[in-house]
Amino acid sequence: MGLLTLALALVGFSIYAAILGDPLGPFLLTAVVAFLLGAPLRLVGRFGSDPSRREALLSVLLLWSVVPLVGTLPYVLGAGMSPLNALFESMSGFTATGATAIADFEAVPAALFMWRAFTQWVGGIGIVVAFVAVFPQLAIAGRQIFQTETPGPTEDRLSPRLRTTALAVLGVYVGLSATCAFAYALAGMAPYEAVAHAFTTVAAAGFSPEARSFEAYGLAIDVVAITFMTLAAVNFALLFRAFFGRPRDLARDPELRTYAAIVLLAGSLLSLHLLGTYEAGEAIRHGFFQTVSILTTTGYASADFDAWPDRARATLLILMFVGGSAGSAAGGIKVMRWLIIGTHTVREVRRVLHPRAMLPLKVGARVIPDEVLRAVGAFLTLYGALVAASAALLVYLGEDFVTALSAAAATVGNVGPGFGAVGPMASYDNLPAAGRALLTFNMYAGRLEIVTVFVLFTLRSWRLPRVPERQRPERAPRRPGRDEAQR
Amino acid sequence: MKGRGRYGARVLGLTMLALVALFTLFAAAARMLAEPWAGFLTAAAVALAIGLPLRRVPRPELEPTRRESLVTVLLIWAVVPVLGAIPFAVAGPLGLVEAVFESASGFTTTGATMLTDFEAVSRTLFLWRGLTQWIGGIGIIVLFVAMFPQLAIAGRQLFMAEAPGPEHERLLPRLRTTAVAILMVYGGLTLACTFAYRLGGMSDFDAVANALTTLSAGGFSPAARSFEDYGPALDWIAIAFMTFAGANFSLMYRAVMGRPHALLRDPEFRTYAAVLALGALSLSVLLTHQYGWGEEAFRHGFFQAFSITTSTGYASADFALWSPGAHGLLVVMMLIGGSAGSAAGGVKVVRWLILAKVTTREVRHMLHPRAILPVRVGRRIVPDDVIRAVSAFIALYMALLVLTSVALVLLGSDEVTAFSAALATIGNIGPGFAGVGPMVHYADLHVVAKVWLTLMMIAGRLEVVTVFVVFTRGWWRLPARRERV
Repeated sequence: MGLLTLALALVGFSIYAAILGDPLGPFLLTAVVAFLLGAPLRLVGRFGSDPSRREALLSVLLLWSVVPLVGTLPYVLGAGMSPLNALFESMSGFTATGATAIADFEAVPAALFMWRAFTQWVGGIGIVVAFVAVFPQLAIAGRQIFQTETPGPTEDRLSPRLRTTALAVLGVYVGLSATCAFAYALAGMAPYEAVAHAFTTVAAAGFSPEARSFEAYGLAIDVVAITFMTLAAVNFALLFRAFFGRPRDLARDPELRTYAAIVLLAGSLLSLHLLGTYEAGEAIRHGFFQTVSILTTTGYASADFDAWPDRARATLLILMFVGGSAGSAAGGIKVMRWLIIGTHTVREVRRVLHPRAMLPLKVGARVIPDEVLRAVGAFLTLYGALVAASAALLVYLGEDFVTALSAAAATVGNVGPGFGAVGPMASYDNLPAAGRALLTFNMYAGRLEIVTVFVLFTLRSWRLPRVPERQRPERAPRRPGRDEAQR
Repeated sequence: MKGRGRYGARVLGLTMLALVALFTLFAAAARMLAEPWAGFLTAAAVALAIGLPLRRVPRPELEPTRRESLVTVLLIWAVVPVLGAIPFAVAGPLGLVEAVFESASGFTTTGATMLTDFEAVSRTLFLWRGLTQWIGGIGIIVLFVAMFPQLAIAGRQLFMAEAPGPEHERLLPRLRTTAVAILMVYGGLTLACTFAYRLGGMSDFDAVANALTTLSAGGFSPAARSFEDYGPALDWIAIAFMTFAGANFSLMYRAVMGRPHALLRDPEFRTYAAVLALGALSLSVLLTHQYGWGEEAFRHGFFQAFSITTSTGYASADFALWSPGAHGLLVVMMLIGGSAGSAAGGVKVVRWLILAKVTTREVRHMLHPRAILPVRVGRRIVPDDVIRAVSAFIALYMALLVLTSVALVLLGSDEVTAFSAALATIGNIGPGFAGVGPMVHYADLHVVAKVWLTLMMIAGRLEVVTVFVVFTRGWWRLPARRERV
């Protein structure tokens, strides 16, 4: 289990390093725990062969469960939260969700808020790298379609590819964060808030050290937030290429075009719904802020949108299901998948008339292979099933319809706030413990594209491979999965 | 090209003439009972005016093309509900839009009603209302079993072999044999149901009116409070016959014709039975909070679970007042729907079965991306084109559901009313929750919402995709040469 060790150790160290700057006891203790966990695993050593499909999957799954677990410590020690709430908060951080279980914002020290924002930033970059580099190779939930879009040579094997891509994306990510922090500061935020918000803006995450999110800030800051949230949900690899001399790629990308169209359309529609609540200028500002915030699954609130009219809330609920672009830190189903399923549906309707016609499925100039379509279909099904099942469970636990559905959609889609008892100005602490535990799992599953998590439930994933695995047998014959013994 | 383009006209003409006979019969009956009969007479006159000229269209010599078959289906399902609305509007209790809604709700076996005052409605009109559902029911079953499989609509090609009658026959003769076979089962069950209701204590009139809407999974009842006042015995009888109404009729035909194993071996029927049992039991348990541990909780639980899953829409109690947990369960059952070869609406059990199997396969594929894993339902391998059609069907169904909910919210309904109304009309169920609950009516909705929902009932009934073909570019381009049926 090579990659896993490396990653765990890496994360252990990075937590360590990041935390050293903070003089507070809880962080030091966490760092020690992380170090204790990471150091022995560091000794496992490098591995000679590429990770197998099973190993890669397992390491991603393990990474996203162990890191949030370790991340709970500061909350328990520093703010006296219950273990479950701390895990919820930590998971919400590392999955870049932004749902909070903190009921009293006064009781939380400033350093912990910075830590909270930082977990989202780390989670954001982690997921972008995982999506851009690892998942396309693993062909998860239709991700293989984005394979050719990543920078770096396509012929490479997993590890070198991971490195080039990660570097490129990391560059974009860090650059965006720095610019964003500057812009916030220029628009009038205090440096501490500017940095904390920049961390969670670019990660499309949504934690804010303010109890009332963006409500307290003025127009200038809202505009900055809208701009950077919009950028945060664009395919980072695409941004990278656009930045390095191919800006036309942006205009030509079908996903980006649809994404932009959705932002404009939904933003105008929402502004229109708000005309009764605010005057025109305010309506447009809040309309676009909330559209972008929910669509990109960030989850900031410039106003208590739970108090808006039903029409506006219904629009937002739908946006939760759309999500950002693939290859960004945004959650949700993602625009690309909707594009694929939409094109497919139109094709099938055509087929009613011409059942034997060969109609290739095209998104932009590219033909979508059948296996991608099938994977996307399965993903959507699981997504819908998970949202429906969690909503049903929450209703069973005594929540009302709107709270239950929006909480389920907001956690599986990694959005953050929902409506009713989990509205933007409320806290998930209002839900029963079982509900919070379920939603913690939802965030985890939603972040890892659900299918990945459900593999664990198939019997076969528990059977150890005895013969070489079947991944790309023509290129690199696998060794039996006992790398450690051969060191 | 001789005879092309005549099918729609000819079939419509025949249907109209059949309707003339029916309307005249009803007018005579109403006259004898001293009830308003002008509506039926007007309807008969209009049907005659449309039907007579069309009668002169000569008999076509060729098999209908795919496009013609589709046009015919769409045409019938558009014109007949409008004609059926006349008795409700002329000398009846409803306005024009409401009458068309009521009639469409009948012919699509939905059961959503616009009637606000059940006292003001004559018995003949109630009987007509029930009969629209019965006719709509047999119409759709024959269409589903005989025609849609051949036209490969929404994954129905999977059931090609199931229709009674020789397998490789052409469309029309096959339609005839199937219709006769299914009519026998359908009619027989309706008769049995009428007798059972009568024995259970209903009046003659109520027994007939309710039997007509039970077997068609329709749900119109001449009683304002549906099954609430009929008593326990009748509830259990209804539960039994609703179970039949939601099962595959061609399977039942084969079971009756000496192959009783056919039912038990069928994967859809088994899942259907499991869904019913599971849904009914969990609903009953949820209801014990309200009704206590006794027969009442289980009666209401079973009744409502069966009524909603089979998309009938009767209510043995005002379920809009139940707990949110019970509501959540009912929503899930609304989405599931009955079996494919019945008049039940919704997405249907097989489609969920296929979708679940495909999803499981894809999860497996993650570990073994090159493995060839066929999707099986029972012993049959589901072909790829069926899988694609089913997924597109579900996508379109959900899209329509969301779109309709949003439209209703925009038109001023609250969220729960909007969503449940969308679900109940597209799934051809009938009652929803809150503003459109089982003891209220759809009459308070916005006019635009009423028109929209009327269209949704018809779209839902015709498997959604069938209706959306009209919006494709290819549909309006006339074929230059020959089509590829």
